[in-house]
Amino acid sequence: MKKISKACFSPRRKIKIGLPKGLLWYKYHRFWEVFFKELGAEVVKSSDTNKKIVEEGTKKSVDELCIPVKIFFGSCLDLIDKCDWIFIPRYWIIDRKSITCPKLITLPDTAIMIIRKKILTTTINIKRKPIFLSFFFLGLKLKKNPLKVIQAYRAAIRAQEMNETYLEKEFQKKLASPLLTVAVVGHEYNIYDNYINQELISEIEKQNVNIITSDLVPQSLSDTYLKEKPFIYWSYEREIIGTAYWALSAKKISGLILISSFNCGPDSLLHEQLLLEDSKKPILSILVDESTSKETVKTRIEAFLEMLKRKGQIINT
Amino acid sequence: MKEIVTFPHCGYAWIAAKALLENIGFDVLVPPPISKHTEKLGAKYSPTDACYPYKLSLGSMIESLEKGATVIIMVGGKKGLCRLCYYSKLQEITLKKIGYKFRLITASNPQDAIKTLKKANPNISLKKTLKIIPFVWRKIKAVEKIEILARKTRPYELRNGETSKVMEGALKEVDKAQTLKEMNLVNLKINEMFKAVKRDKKDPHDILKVGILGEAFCVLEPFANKNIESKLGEKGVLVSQKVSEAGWLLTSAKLNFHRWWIKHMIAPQYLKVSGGGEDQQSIGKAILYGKEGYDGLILIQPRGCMPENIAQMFLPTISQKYNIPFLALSFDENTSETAVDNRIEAFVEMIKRKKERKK
Repeated sequence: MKKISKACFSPRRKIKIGLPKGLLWYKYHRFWEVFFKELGAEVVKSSDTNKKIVEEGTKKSVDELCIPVKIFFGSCLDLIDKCDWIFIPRYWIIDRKSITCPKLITLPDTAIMIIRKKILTTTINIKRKPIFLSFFFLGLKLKKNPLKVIQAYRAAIRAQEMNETYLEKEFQKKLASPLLTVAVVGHEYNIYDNYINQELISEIEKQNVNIITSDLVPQSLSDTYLKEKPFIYWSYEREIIGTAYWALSAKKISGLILISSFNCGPDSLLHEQLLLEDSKKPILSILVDESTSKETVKTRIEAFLEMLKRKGQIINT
Repeated sequence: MKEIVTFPHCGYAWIAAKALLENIGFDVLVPPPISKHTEKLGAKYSPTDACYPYKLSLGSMIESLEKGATVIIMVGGKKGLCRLCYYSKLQEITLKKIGYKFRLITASNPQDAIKTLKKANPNISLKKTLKIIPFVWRKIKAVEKIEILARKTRPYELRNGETSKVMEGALKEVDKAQTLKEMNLVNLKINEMFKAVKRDKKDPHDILKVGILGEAFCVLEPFANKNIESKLGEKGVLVSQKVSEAGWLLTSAKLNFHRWWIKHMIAPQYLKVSGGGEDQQSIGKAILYGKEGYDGLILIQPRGCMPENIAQMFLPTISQKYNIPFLALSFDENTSETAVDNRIEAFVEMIKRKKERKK
């Protein structure tokens, strides 16, 4: 395989870098966008997930993959004519004791099989080098000025930190709400992609129920609830399953909604572990695939929330 | 209370495991062979999305617990890449919730297993364990030899099914042997047993050669892959399959050079970092089989297996580059044996016609 060559930089127009709207985009896009913009590139996002993206992604890859990965491949195909380079990083090890997910670790290699050209990548493995260096060498490919690359990295970190502060404030605000509260637990690419979640968040909000999603809960809190459980060696699963265990014991939360996609490896075993817990809190598990309809999800959510409301009334009276 | 040790059933690994544990001084319960009943039991208590090896190993554990086992030894470790290392953690929770009382010991290699067993039962002496290792290793290599001889003999057999019968008999002989001397005699007997199979006079150049790739459990356990090796052999196909218990033991002792070579020298042309399981090995083997001029490749995977799905993404390119057709088969408790048979038959026909056109 050819090594990914340096970006050809034309001084007349800005380089366009495409960010496929799938998988880790939901977690890190603020960081990536600021980093590339500070280096003088124009950032292009793929279209919101739609039927064509899912179909194209499925056709060119393997049928049994989980739907978020198929959406990612479809988004890459959507971006091919819209940009010069598609950015697909390899998030491998972000925490000393765990790894991300087999599909994320191999993402740049499998994506090349589908797109066949023009991938910009960097490997994030804190056991080999600090995250700063992974982005520093990537930035040098776009701008040969090390000071500018360091400035861009610092601006990107600031953007990420601002988002984390916002999430902390949201968490406190939601905890203080007097309404009935449910926790919605799942990967961000399942919760916030409207094609996958079938607009679950807005359905719940319509019922005047307060939602705490798993990305709001701080990691320090979710980690404490994982100490007595068998060791989970997938980093992002630790975040969401730790949140689920917190939700099962937090008084504020009346019920837990688990959202996952069909064929997700780690979720399949870990959600079962949650359902086997001796907890009196109601848990609704939603498994989404390409043929799930909005009506099915809506009906299940309505029935679940109805049950929670009635349970709350019985306890109060 | 007397402790009865067991382990989940996987291919023919039980022969060596039984020899090792009995000679250390344990009461061993050999798990019953995997059957439809095991599959049903496993699927009943597993999540729908779990991989097939999880369900079969859970079913096997339940059958052993029903027969009175009190200690289960399972493959696993604190962390891993694919779901395999998490199996034991969820299986323990599930079985305890059903109500069984037992102890689960996980080990990522035999040295770990023996250390943990020694903690539990201090009567085990390390000296005795080291003494029996040559005997156990001889048994493992004998099983590997039987499998290789069976694959080489089946395409030539006159009567369908004779090789499989001889294989069963040979495996029984290996299990019966109790000392190194007896094992030496058994090794000679195995060669004779396979030579005695009546053969058809076929030109070795006309025999189709197919390489088997894929996930370790489904490749080793005949029930999981619907006896694909026997079926291919009886159609006159010479099967090559490189996963074995001996290979796994060498890997855990960091002595498996073939595996290291594939991982670092061959597979990185396509897959630079492994996502776990056998993904880089499958890709590497596909390339090697292609270079050696094999007639076809069959990828065997449980449905939803993450590393094998990743490997499958590279097969179309490798297949085109080396001009070697491939067939990807997924197995789970809902796979119909007839469907698999039809697909294998169509594939064998296709590669036969391709080979004839080449001449």
